[in-house]
Amino acid sequence: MIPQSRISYFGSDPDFIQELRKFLSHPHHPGELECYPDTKGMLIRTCVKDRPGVVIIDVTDSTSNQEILEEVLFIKRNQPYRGILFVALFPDIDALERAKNYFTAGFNLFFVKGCESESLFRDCLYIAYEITGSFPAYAKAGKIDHSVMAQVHSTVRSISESSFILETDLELSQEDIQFTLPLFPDLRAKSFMVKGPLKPKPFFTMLNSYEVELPLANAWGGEDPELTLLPDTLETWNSLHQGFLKHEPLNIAVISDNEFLFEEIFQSVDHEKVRIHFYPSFSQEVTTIYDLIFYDIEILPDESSGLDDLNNLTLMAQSQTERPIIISTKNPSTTEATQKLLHYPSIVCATGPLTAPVLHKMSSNYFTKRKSDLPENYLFPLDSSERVVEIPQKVFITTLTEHEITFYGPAELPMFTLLQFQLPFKFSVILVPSLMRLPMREESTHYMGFVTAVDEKGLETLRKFINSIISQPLTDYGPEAMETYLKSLLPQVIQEVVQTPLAETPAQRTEVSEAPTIKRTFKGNSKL
Amino acid sequence: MSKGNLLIVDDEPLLLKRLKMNLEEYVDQVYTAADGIEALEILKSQEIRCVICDVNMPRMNGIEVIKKIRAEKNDVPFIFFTGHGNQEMMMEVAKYGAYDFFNKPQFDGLEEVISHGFKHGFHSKTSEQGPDLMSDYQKLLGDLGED
Repeated sequence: MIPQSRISYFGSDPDFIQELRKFLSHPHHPGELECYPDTKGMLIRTCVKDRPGVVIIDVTDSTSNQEILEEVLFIKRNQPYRGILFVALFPDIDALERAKNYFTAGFNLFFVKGCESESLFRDCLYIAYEITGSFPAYAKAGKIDHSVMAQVHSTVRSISESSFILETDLELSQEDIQFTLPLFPDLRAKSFMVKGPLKPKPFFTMLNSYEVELPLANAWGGEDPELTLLPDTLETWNSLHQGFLKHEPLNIAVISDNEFLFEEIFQSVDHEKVRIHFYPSFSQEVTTIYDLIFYDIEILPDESSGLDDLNNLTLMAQSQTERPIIISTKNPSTTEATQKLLHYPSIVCATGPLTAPVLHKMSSNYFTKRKSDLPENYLFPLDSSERVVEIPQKVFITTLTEHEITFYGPAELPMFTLLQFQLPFKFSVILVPSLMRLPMREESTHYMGFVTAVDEKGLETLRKFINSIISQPLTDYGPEAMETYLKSLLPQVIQEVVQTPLAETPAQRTEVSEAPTIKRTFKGNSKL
Repeated sequence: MSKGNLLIVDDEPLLLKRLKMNLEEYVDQVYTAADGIEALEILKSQEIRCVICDVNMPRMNGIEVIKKIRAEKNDVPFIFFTGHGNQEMMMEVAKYGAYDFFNKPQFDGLEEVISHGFKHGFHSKTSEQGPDLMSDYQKLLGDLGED
């Protein structure tokens, strides 16, 4: 049976709504659509109430990227909603270029208006509901087997005096990594030393966090000044960025079966002071890396879970060097009794349920109390594109169509990671469970990714490129070769686009027989 | 002003006698019961503001006593006497709402807890509010600062 999909659209583009409605009325991919003109006050409520599998946000008329990103990340950080697929709609490719930070702030797919929307809808249903529906067969350049450097979208969370926190979906095993750090425009260094992974910290924007050394110049000089940060340069940079110097926020876990509390908490807390992780029940994922844990599960007679889970939580907390304070609400016993019962002195209890104002008050008090202990770092807003860094990852492309790419990768890349390829221009790819059986190769994994963040002009270029390498395979897929290819192709493409503003149907496209659903075969780490 | 009545439930007569003597001056009247069945009768016939109850007793244990009392919508504070190996029973009574636990035979500070229990019992009769969460929390934060 084909699952009924549920999509929430935030925006006011009547054409897009009409196309989406039409798509969802098809019996091969039926679905419900809810439309809202604006995300304000509605995004979290919708995610809690309607439980959509896909949320599409049109950012064309958006006045505050920061607000949208903050809200999307707040949702994505929380276990019950992590599986929601977030799609950003942009009016044109320039708007998308200016919004690089969207790639590292909870969004999964990026659509530039003017492209064929059905392709986007099919991708959404496949990722969110495993519905294959009717994927067209695109012209395919196969058996490429050439290495290229893909870039994994990553982000800098904060900067301290001598290091910075890098967040990435990659698991970094090597000691030094290559990338450019846009936060220091004059710094030409492309190699950075990884000090190590952070001790387990709650998911912030990406799956992994690492402390990376800033390449500070030593006192005796001698290094290439462009590859290191001189004390004067750093001092100037610090003074220019004083406004970003803030105490790290508290990490707070809320374990509550009252999902409506989730929205209230978002509205009431100060997001510069606290970072909330919401869990519908106690699980091993609730590690005691939090400063405060609110346990809002009712303890009832004849039911073992409420008190037993609280006991398990305190046992986990006792094994930590920094014990979190646990606030147990809907608990019929007093603070003193619970402290003695669970042998955990840092627990307070109340019979009533947790409310957002109480959480806000307690977290603010704790922040004030602990402020002097919390590290002060340069923390950048989510809408700052300077935070975005691209970490190169060597891969071997095997096939390419205008819709998907397959490649071998040496690392275990988590499913739904976003990478950037240059073939021949730069576009992004989201890793997905493969639509087809992919051959295996020793010591590498064969991945499939859907092409995303491309406009119609880009798709035309990609089609040309694919047709070209089908007839005349290339021997070099490096960036210089791609630039050269692009230069030779570009005038032709521009000319054709001018002559035929509406692109033709993609080459060799034929309908594939409907296979209603697929089983995901991937195992291991996943972002959704 | 009336302080309120206290009920002590334990199957050790000597302990009952000793506690009764020690606590009489802090309460209006001390009632004693040798087991849970006797305790239930007293709780039905007398106005009790706080109960001190052994967890492990013959005939009817502490779990059964609190279970029956709570089923009658009576939220009188229960202070439980515990000993080694009683963790499972403590977990059970805590599900019905325990006011405090004391390890037999160490009763230091029991008078103060009873006094708080009387207040708690009084509050529970006059309002829906439980113990003041914020005041417990502020106390805990204060303790953190003293490290």
